[in-house]
Amino acid sequence: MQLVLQIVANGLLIGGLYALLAVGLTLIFGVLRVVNFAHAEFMMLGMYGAYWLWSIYGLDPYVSVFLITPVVFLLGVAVDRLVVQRSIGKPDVTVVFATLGLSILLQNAALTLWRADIRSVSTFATGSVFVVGGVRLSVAMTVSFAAALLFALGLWFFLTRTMYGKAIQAVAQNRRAAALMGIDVKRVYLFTYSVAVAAAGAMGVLVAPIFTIFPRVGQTHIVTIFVIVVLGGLGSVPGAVVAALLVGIIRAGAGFLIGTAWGELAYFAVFLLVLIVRPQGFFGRRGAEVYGG
Amino acid sequence: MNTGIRRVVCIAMIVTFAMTGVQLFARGQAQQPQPAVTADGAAITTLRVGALFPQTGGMAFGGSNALQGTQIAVELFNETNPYGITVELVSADAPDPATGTTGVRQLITQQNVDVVMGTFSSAVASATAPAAERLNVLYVETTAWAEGITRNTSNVLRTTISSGSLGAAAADFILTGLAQELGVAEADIRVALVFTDDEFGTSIADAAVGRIQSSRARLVVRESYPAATTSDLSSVLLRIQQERPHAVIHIAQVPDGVLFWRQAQQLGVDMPAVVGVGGGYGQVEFARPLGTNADGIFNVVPPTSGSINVDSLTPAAQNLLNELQTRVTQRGWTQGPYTDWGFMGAWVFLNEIVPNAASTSIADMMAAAANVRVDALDSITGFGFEFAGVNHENSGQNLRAIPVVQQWQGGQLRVTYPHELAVADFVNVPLPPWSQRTQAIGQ
Repeated sequence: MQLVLQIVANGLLIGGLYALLAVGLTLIFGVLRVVNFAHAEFMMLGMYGAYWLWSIYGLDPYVSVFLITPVVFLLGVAVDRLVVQRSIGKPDVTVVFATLGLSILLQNAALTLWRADIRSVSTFATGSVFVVGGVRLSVAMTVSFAAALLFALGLWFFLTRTMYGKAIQAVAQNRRAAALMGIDVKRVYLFTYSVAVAAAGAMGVLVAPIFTIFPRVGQTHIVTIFVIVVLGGLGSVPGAVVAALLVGIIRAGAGFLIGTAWGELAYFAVFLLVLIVRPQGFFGRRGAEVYGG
Repeated sequence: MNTGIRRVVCIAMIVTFAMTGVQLFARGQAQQPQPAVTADGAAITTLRVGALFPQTGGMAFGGSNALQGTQIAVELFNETNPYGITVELVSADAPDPATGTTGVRQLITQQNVDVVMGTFSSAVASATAPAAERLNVLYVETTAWAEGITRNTSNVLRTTISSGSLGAAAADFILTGLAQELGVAEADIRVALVFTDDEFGTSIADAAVGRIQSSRARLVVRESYPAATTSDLSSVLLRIQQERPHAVIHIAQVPDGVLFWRQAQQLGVDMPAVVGVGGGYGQVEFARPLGTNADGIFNVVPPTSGSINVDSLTPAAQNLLNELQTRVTQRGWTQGPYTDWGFMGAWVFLNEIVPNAASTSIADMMAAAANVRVDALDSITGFGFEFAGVNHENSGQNLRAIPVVQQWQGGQLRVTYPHELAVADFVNVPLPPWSQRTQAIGQ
């Protein structure tokens, strides 16, 4: 029984890491109708930020996250203005190539600036564990998990309980109608994109004590994150969280029972099954992928 | 598709085929060996070498190191120029098999190189060496280890080790030296094998499995994972915890190697001995985040100047090593294992094979390679050079590239096995359980 609990706990914790990335990605898609291929690169930038502040100033990532997240937010503002908004309304392929190009640009910028050296951040949290009912939980993973859930809850509260959140939802539903109602659609885009990539940057900082850091580190996670976003329902924040946790558990469970290599296959099998039975994903609306006005 | 677009596409395809044909024809013409004997008796006067290594992407670190070693070897050769041969180096990026294949074609058909040298990545080399073979060009592999690279090919000279010998050496070590140190009989020893599911990882794993299955030992865990997308190794660690092997063979790169150990500590998975094979466990970037907890972890690898007693090398080899180190430092580069292997492979090729080849054709180069005999003490890497002949199942393989077992000790890799080559005794065998470790990973 304890082994089962340990597997579930491992799955939930890794799922929490995925959730923080997936929530931002699904938000961008839901509001802007943009598939942000560069999303994981903002996580990579957050990881490098954590590394440099830790290695030069000795700043713990749990402190530097408060410095780096606003910087990534501002970077998101710049990217939205210079790249994303210029491609919105253009043919789909333009948007795809814009964000894909941005992804390659950011990876190669990191490669040029910081070379391909593999770096790591080691803090008190790296090797620390606490034991609950015989189940060992990594401090670093638990902190990331908690941050992911807090972010998702805060975002859900903001979207459903505040005027600006409702304005964002209105834009997600029909951007033309929202504009006619006096909502500044471009500003909503700017805010949404920047918040989402800032969350990716924050996740990068929080996972720095867990994973090694190199220019292509984002690519380790991006396929899984896209699966989660589609599985949860395009544009659905609760869907992204549920799907992330589910993927984490399936991967850990199948990995233990039938082999690590099969873990990935198992969640892809579930993914295909869900798409057949419920093409819009767990919490998605039918036709969410279609431009809404 | 409308008629206009179709016509444009047809014309583009015809032009592309025509240009490719012209290039291949031109290449075929250029390929005819044109020996021109120099004053020193060498048949080749100018040699264009294509250097094909990953310079971008996830393998850029090791790939760049190997390229830097190659560059310095060519630079030194041209400066001393003992045979009146000028070598021109042209490099191309090979971050993945598809780009590498394009790169090798461009090097041969557009840059007119006489030989291609690479590749760091086994996955890339498995695609690019056959591509060079189709264009009738010799491929010198200095840094990729997959067994298949020298199987069923006629154009490959590999100066470094093959993965088969690595996997077999890891298993051999566990069954002999380690079993003795742990006080376990061969019949009782249980081994876990964890490996990346790429060409490189599987070829090492297959050789290790073959060796273990031919013994009385038991393979209790055999797990593979995709290195490029793995962010969680907890399931494999829990299986190891259940099966309680005496030794784990882990074939890994740096990121998954570090993740394995961080999660092992998190889950409290005790392992009496872990033998790393492949690039990851031999890198400082692997050991640094583990701190003193790296002490006692083994790594099976071809020796390098950093792991052997360089005082035992011949004066000529020591001078060569000093020259390499000076130039690496002057440029602000880092001298890693791949720098050594890239450098020494290129150096032996340029000094021992090229001057003795009648032309740049594969047959003539292979004939010259068959006579190479370089002693281990004449090499900065600590292993010698002697190439398998054309009738050998691994023709072109350096038969003197023999792995050694190193162990992390105080942040340094030291050769600990075989005993006749060892520069240090074993430490931390068996590895202390996590409950007894004073320093957690990362503290």
